Amino acid sequence: MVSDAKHEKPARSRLEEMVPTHLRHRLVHQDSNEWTTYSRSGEPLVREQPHNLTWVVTRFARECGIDPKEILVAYRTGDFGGSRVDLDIKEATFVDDGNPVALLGAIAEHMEKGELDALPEGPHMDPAWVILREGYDPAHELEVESLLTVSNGYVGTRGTLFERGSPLGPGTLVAGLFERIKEDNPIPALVAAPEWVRVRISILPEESEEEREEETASSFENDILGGTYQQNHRVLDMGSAMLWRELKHQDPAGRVTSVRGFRLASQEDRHLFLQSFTLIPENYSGRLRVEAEADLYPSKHKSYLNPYPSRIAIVRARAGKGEPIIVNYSYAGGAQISVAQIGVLNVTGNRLMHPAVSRIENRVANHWEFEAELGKEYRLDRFVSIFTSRDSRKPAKQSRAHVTSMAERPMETHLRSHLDNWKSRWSVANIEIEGDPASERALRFASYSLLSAANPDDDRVSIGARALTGNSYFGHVFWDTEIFMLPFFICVAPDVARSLLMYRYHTLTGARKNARKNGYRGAMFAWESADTGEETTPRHMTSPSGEKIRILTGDQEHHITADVAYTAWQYYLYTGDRGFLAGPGAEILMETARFWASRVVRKKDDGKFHIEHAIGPDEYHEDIADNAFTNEMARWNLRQAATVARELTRSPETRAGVLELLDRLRVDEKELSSWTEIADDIVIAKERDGVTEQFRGYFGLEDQTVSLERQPGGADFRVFLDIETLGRTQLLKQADVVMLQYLMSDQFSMEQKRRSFEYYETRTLHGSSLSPAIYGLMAARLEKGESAFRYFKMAAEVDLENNMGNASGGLHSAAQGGLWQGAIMGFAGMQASLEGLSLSPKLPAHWRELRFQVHWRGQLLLIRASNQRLEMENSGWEPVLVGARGSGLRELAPGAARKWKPVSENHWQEVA
Amino acid sequence: MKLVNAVYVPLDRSDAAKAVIPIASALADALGATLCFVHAMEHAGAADDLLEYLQLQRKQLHHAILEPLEGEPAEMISKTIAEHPRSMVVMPVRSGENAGSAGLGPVSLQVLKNARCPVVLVPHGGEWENWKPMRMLLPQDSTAACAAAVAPAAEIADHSKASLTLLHVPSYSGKPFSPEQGALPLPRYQDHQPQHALVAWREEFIERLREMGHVTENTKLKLILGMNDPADEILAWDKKLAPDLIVLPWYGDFEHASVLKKVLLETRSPVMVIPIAEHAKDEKAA
Repeated sequence: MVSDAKHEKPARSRLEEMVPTHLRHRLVHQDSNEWTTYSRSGEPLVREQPHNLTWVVTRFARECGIDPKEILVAYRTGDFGGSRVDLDIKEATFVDDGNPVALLGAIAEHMEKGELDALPEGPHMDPAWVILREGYDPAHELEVESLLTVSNGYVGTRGTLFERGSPLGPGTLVAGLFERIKEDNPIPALVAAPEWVRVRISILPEESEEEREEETASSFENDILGGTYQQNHRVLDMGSAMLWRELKHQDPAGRVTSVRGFRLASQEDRHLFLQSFTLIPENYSGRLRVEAEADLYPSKHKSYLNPYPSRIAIVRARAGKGEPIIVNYSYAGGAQISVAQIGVLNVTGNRLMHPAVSRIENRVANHWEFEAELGKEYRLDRFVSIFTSRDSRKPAKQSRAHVTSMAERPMETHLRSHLDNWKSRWSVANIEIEGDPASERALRFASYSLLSAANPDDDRVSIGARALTGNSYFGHVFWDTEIFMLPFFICVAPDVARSLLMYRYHTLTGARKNARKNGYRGAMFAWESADTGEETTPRHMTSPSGEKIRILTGDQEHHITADVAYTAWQYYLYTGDRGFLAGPGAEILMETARFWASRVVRKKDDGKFHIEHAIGPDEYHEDIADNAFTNEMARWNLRQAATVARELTRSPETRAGVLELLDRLRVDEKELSSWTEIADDIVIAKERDGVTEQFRGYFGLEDQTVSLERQPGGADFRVFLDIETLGRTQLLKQADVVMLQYLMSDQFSMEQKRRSFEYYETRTLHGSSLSPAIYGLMAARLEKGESAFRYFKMAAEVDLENNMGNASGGLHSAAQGGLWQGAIMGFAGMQASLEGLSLSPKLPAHWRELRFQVHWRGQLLLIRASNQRLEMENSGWEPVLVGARGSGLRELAPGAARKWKPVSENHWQEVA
Repeated sequence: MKLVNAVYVPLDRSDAAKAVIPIASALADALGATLCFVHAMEHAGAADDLLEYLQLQRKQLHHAILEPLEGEPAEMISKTIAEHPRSMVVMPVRSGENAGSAGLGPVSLQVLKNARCPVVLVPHGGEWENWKPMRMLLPQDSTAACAAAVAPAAEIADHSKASLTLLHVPSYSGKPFSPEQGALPLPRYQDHQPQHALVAWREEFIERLREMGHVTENTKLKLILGMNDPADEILAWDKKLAPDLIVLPWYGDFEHASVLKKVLLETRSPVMVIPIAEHAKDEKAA
């Protein structure tokens, strides 16, 4: 386990120096009983003691996704106490070498060579792996930009056209860096970085040298924005996480130029961004000018959605080899972002041409002018490094050092590392559907969006509602992350899941402040969270008529506190990460339970505990009481905290640590007992004809229903201005009771779920992108096949077809997570319990087979599901318990597979 | 490329017709267009000295062209502007007492119905001598076609350093989305809270209009949401803001143009009616 408090930089060892920075994360180094591992940016991290080699391989290598067959242990005879007793790793290769350092150096060199293997020259040909958008249409450009974002969880850059920029201002957002917007509603908003993707290509007029010298740089008229496009498209290759641009441009004089290139946010080194273009003059020879810009600020008007930097500085802009241009944004609140770029033009014969520098209007640029010959290729490579004040007190200095070091190696080296990283992610995350390429592509897009939103190396940031794909919602973090996105990460990338939960752990201080401010105890997670965890929901908004409207979600939508606790438990349930549960997980559970204990109110008339003045997932009804979702989640939170505390104190492995935690939190046995008692006495929602009442008094509201054909709909904003009218009806914004019956599935019978589903389905407007996926999931579990697929498709189209009309402000990351859950938890029917993992496939009729992988208790399971057959294979290290519906749980040994077939409606049977 | 090459002013002997000259002149100046006075007569040579006949002063003819047309006025004016697609017409709502539908005189009505270019209709009885297009009110209905239509007004605004107030008027009735591809209707209270949805929508609406209508960054844009009937909203904001010009994109079906008719009938501000391009109308209809 890496300890935050113990991040130290030991003296660089010989071995460390021999392995290049970008490969160093693959190295584990033991020296004088100290284990050192390396971050993705090559920084040494000292690991906790003591650990033997078996631990390194079985735990660390698994965390890193390293195949044991690929482990090479170089040692000197006499190392490890002269014995290999603890080296119980059959698959690894052992080399007893007198000079292991030299051996590893040679291997590193070999790996570096391997980086130069053939690399992609264009996007993937398989349409199920790409998102293609033709041309440019200002009416749709903003949603296309969102869709084609490249991101690595540290920085996201929207799919803006390199020659045009975005109509909505800055297109590059940095995770975790906030600045308070100085409007009448001061709240922190994610800041933008200087734009790094702008490139101008011009064919210079034919003129004499003297005339050319007189020409000012801004007066070239044959910029690529003029003329016509014979071919013009952008392709997001999800497999390689590269945004390709292919165009053929004809200028007014008939000269045709082909351009093909890509941009990417390196998944290997999150500070690195690459852009590369190949230009070919197709029917002319002439003088070309290429400008690679760093925009000082792309727009003169200030966007409300992005804070405007208080100071924009060109830190460095010199011509010549290896000279970066560095632009720095400083914000009034202290945040800083530095972008350093180095560009190289590869002209014919692999001759490198280094740039001149121009300063034009509001931009500074590297530029090249050269005589281009008909039919020859000219390639521009740009290396861009981004650092912020979260990384260093001097981000400009760090970005300069970084970009200089990156530009010393060829583009191919970085590209290979990036591709390897994505290959490794896809080796787990990929989903295949036989019989439905459109759904397969949608699920792949969901996985791509989520994986590219995450940064497992930084556990002090989370994923905002629109991730780094747009500035809507100011980068704020909602329940979206835990309830909708985390299940994907828990199953596919547990390292990311842990990191995201650690963000909540690190923001417990803010959550405690929220509780205190509101007169409660424990920790109350913010409905909208930014960097500190303190509540950032605006308290009011100004209506179109200038009226101030009170916003109650920050004050009342408290279910998020239980949602975080619930997901922390789900993480443990799937991963078995006892270290997390006994540490950060337990603290989250205790503090949230304590909040609920202070949040409930005992009423004299019935003697029960109630939760008054709340908002549930359905935000059309505000200031309600005893919302079934909130009450049940709170009940679960209270019970689970007490159960976990007791269980962990009974276990010798965790006892000491948990007693220490309870002591620090001043939680005693009396308080634990009170949580259970409160949980037992929280009022249970009323039921009518088997339908759970959404909140107290809901059934008494005016009953209105909606036509399913009108979905997704949502209420017109003007209706919200008269929220009381909407609140007087039974119309819902999104799944509320249905959501509860998904999360707390065991508490409700199939009949209860069916009745509630049917009742609420006709009253739900799906005014939230979170809603359709959950309805689809529950419809699948209730064997409503047609409905299930209709909702699944609706969820799939939220971003791909912009079916809710608001994808322009960024992708709906929670809808993407919901879609994944719809397929895996819905159609494949996957459910986890403390005992084991079971599936119950109910696929749409046209899906012949669904293939996917999930991590379960540290083992990777390959699952093939159809309506006639289920197969699970354990490609991990240890046996696990798995089963199909009605068949009971069976041990699945490493390397083994088990198969089942349905024998009746609710019963599957194992087959040989 | 200039969006408008010529600003046509149909003249007769009425004061109302000549009263629009300062407006036409200011618009021509802002657009870098030629100012063309046209007078249609049933019989050529009916007036030997057109200047005298129209009772025009020489200074009113400064930098302008005066052109006689032979034929019925409405028909000839329509024909002339049809032959010059990059043109604009500035004329009074009516020049005589004879007011028809929407208060329009017979010539104005006919020209408006036939025009494929912007037509500026100037209300009767205003004081326009020192008119400048400094404040404009632009009703918008969410559609991309409507946004794109404002380009000529944007050019005027850019030159005059005018401020533009966008007035969003609802165009749908019970339908979740406008049928036009690329329309940007009001947010439907999606995803979490309106404090985010509305702010993001407002920002996007302004920037999309800027891009589609070629409104430069020098021009200030403000957005107001109209919550009621479009015509009532336009007239209410007309009263509140007293704009120099209302810029009203129009789908071209005069019989059913309830908003246009009501606005023309009641406003005291000049109205620039911009017909929405045929292909865009087709998309909307689809």
